[in-house]
Amino acid sequence: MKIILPIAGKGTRVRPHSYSKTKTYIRVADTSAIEYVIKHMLTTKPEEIIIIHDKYTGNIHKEKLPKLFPKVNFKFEQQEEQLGPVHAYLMAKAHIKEGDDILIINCDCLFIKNLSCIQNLQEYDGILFVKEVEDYQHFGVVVHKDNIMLDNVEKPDKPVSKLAHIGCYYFKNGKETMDYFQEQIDKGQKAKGEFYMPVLYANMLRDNKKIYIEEVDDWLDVGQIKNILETNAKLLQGKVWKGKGVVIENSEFGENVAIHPNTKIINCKITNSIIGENTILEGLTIKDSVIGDNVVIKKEAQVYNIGDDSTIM
Amino acid sequence: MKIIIPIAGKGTRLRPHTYSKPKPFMPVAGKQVIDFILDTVLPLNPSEIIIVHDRYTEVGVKRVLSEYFPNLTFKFSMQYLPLGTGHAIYQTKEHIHEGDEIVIAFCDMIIGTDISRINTLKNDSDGIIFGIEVNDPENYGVLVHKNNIITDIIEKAKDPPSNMANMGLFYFKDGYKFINTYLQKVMDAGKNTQGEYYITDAFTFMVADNNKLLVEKIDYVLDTGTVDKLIEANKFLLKSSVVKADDVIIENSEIGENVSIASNTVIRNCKISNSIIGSNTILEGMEIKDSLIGSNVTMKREGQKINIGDGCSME
Repeated sequence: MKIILPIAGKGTRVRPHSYSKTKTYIRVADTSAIEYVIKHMLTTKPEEIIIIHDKYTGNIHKEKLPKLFPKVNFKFEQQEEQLGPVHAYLMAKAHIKEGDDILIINCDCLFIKNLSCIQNLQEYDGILFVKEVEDYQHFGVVVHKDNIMLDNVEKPDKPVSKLAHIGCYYFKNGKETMDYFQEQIDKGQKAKGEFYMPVLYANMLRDNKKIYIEEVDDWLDVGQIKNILETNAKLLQGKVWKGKGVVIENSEFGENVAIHPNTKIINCKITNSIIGENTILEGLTIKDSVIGDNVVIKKEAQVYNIGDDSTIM
Repeated sequence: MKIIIPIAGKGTRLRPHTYSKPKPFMPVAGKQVIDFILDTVLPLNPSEIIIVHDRYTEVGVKRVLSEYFPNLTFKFSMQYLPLGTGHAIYQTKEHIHEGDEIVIAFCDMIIGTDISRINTLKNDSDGIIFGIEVNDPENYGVLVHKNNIITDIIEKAKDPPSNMANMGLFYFKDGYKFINTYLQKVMDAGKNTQGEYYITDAFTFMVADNNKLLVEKIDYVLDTGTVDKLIEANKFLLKSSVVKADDVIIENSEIGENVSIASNTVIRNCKISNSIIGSNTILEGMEIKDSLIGSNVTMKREGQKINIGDGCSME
């Protein structure tokens, strides 16, 4: 199995953290979106992970990922133009050989599901991972019969289905799938100027391919600060996590607090928050907070050095 | 006349502000640093302003400059690697043609001087290097001169023979020759012991080639390269006054000396002195001094929900 993992997104909804970090490295619980996704994918024991990056962030990923996962065989491909997900996935084409099966996962697709299910579904041409949502109007949903894909509808007005695409796709014949991606691009089958998955599936269904619909146990959103805090709570399950070298003095912790390495917390009361590394907090009562790296906050401070889009409310 | 302004580097000493914008767009004294740099050079009526950017500053620089200064003509050159001031200016080669006069202005030094005197001084010289006397010349490129004519330029010498320091503002009558002959010689000589190409080495080649370079004294220079220096520059420029945009709302607050408040900001029940506050910011119930607060910030006294990025501090 080969993993195709595109990393994109500017992160305007997770400012100010996205000013200093590529969105996918922003912390949640004891990890980050990209680390969670890669660890999850490693349970399938993949042969290699093909990272698709844009022209600005390639060097960041090439430096960071092999350090975080020294045993993983990473390949890197650059997407020159942002022409949608199918266009991004096709960048992996050179790495996909006859006999390779592929698992495509978007970098913000954090979910809970034992991926051993893939091995039990080998009679199908592909698996689409989905999650039932209440606000189906905001998602691409799949219509199915007995778990076999019939159709995909983008942001439906009526609840034709509540099973939303989450951004994770398995294909048994990777090389053939690349040909489908290529066909879609050669034919210019775009929607709103970009190449999306529903057309890809329509082309496959035309050829009588069978795609199995598999629902995941939970889908973890990291799209906005409030979602990051919700996911932090789900991953920590009420616990307090402390990284190496953390120093705590005279402080009180509620549920779901992640404190990253070498941070010092003195006389604080903290609940439901993520605190970065090399940070110093003194005399604060805080909750539902996301605090970055190398931050210093002291009670009754008077001298402030505060960057754009910070909030204390 | 063409103006060259290099805007490169990560601006690490101005974090966290430089995470979201290139350093010449830092607020100071009711404007941005780049406004003051342009105020110094625009009396020369330049035909073009050539910006040297790198991969970090490219997007921000291009977007912000054309938005803020729609009436000026900008050209852009990319410096792919941080290899020094000489290397940065050399990247503008494509934009400088025969007959072009050039002025080079570094982007983190606000310089007070009447630059229009170039128009008379140039009749009797090949170039002008603007400088000022400093107490710590060992930290600068010093200009050795006789009757204002430069005889030598010495970088960061242990025991410098002059205390007239180069502050990053230069004029060259033959800009084409400066780049294609003298900077070319610097490039051909290879990297110096610091692994960079210095612009001052080009001046040394010019002097050796019997060019007449004048040293001209400026009135003042304000370094804006660190947060503390920027707050000092704000104080110097405001001369104890308060400057705020017309749409700023201030309620029940005590605003002391040297405070700069950018547009659309709301300040309630605060006590603020000697600080720079960005735009679209809301401050409630805060006591603040010697501070630099960005744009789109909200801070309320005893707030318990904190969303603060890397490198911020409250002490």
